Amino acid sequence: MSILQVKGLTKNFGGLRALDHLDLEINQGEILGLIGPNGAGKSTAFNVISGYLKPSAGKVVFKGEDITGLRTDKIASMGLVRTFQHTMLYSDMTVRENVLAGLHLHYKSGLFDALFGFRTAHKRTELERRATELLEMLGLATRSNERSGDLPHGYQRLLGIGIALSSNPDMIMLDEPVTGMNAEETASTMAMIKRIRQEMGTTILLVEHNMKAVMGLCEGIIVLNFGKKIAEGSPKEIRQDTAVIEAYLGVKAHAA
Amino acid sequence: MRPVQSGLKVITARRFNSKLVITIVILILLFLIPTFVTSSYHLRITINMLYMIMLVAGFRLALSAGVFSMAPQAFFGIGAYTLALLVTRLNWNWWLSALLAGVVAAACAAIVGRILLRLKGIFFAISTLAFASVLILIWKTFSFFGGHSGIFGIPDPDPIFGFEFGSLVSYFYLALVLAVITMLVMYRIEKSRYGFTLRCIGPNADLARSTGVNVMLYSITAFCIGCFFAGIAGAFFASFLGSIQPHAFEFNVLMLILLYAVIGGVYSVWGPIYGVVIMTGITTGLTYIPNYDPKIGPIILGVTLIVVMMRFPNGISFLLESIPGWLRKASRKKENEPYVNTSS
Repeated sequence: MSILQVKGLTKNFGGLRALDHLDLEINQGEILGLIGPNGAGKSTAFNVISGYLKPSAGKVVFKGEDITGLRTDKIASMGLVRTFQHTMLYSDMTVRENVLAGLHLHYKSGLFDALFGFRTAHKRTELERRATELLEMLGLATRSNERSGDLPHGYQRLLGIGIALSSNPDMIMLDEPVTGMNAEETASTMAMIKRIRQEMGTTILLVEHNMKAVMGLCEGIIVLNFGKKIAEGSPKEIRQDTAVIEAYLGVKAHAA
Repeated sequence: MRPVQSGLKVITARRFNSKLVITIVILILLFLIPTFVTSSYHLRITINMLYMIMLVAGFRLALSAGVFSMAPQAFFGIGAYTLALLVTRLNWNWWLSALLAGVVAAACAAIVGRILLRLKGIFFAISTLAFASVLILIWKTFSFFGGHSGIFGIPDPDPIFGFEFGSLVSYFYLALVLAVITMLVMYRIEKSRYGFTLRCIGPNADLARSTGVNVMLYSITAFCIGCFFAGIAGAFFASFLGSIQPHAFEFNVLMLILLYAVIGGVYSVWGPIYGVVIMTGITTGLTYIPNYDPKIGPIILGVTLIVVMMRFPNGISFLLESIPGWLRKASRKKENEPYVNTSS
């Protein structure tokens, strides 16, 4: 059963067509990779789907509902959460507070609750428990009281995923989750992403440049170039696809 | 570097009680101020401090959500004009008018915020400054607002619970109650989930948005609450002076608010109090120097601002609030000393 359907998604920046009629479908519990050379439109696709940018044309359907052009927070509250390419944290807060901040959607507390202190204590302990569970799963429990900006890069990326996961979304979109990591960190992050899918049943759409990670993680891969989809299939099919090889390595005129 | 923000700490019963005791003692001392401060000059300065605290606290609340408004003085003025017009032209009850002054200021903030908050950071700041300038021009131009000469004969607040207003001491108590309520609300917000979310939006609105925070709604409400208290302060100010002129809400007020906020520290809920009290203390203390030239005052303020910005970029609040930690550390060291000595 497909959880997210993207039909004919197009985004123009002035005269530049960054995204050209992208079609995409991702099934419940699947890990789908979105790859392509620099400037292919991967990040644009992410920004449009998650509501940071309004599409010029096309349709995004999530869990059977049309979410095209909705506000980001609205989309997040429906269970579709994203992470960011560059590390985005509340760097002056502790690791634990970052996760608690991510729990925003589970803490529907209005201004009047704030002023008069209605039913906050009970809710608070429940959220603290959830945060602890998540930090343990991510292996950040021992660092939970450190200032998040002081964490090593790998842990910061992991915490970024943790913030997205804390609201227990149905689907997360990871924008280059292993970027800037060494081989060891990459391997452990890959294992973590697999574990997240296994334990929480989260559907995952990811953009990544690290081919080893993409091939190792994804069941399906979509390749973009100049905003257009040029190939779609299993990692094995993609590896042998001539259009993909051309896009990445280029092709000499006489060699064809 | 900013201090690590305290987010959702569970307050233990023991700490809560000691805090409560300290708060009550401070409140009693504040209520006794008129028995110590008998000169009308000093009482006037204290009253000025109290409504300034309201203005700065409102400004700081919006700033904590990243809403850098350069128009607190305009909302101060909106409150003052609303009250002045209601009580002088329509003979409304003072308390109702004062409440409405706050509500009108908040409603204006909602409209201004909805239109201007699509701009970010400094662009929003500049556009609010433009709003403030336009408003002052309107007050100066239209005879409905009394033009340059403003509105005169604003009466004292109506008696309430048998308490008559008019004397300086009565105004002091009114200002004190208003300021205490303001700070109480600010404290509650700071400790709540709502305040926590505001502090998330401040440094990283995009991340907050991705976790489902309606950034626009939170920014506007924070801005509105801040402006509500600015409006109430304005209503008080109008009656306290008895007359208002447009120039009372010009940029010099904004400069003072910014100065107090920065020196007090924008990351602490108590920052506005520290900023206002310390800076007013300095400027008032200076006047006791023999042959004091009042032109030196602004220079001293400027130098203080530069020193604080360079040495304590988080403001005085960071310095003051680290002192208990240092003391605890120092006393722990002392306790450990004999042990260390015997073992070595």
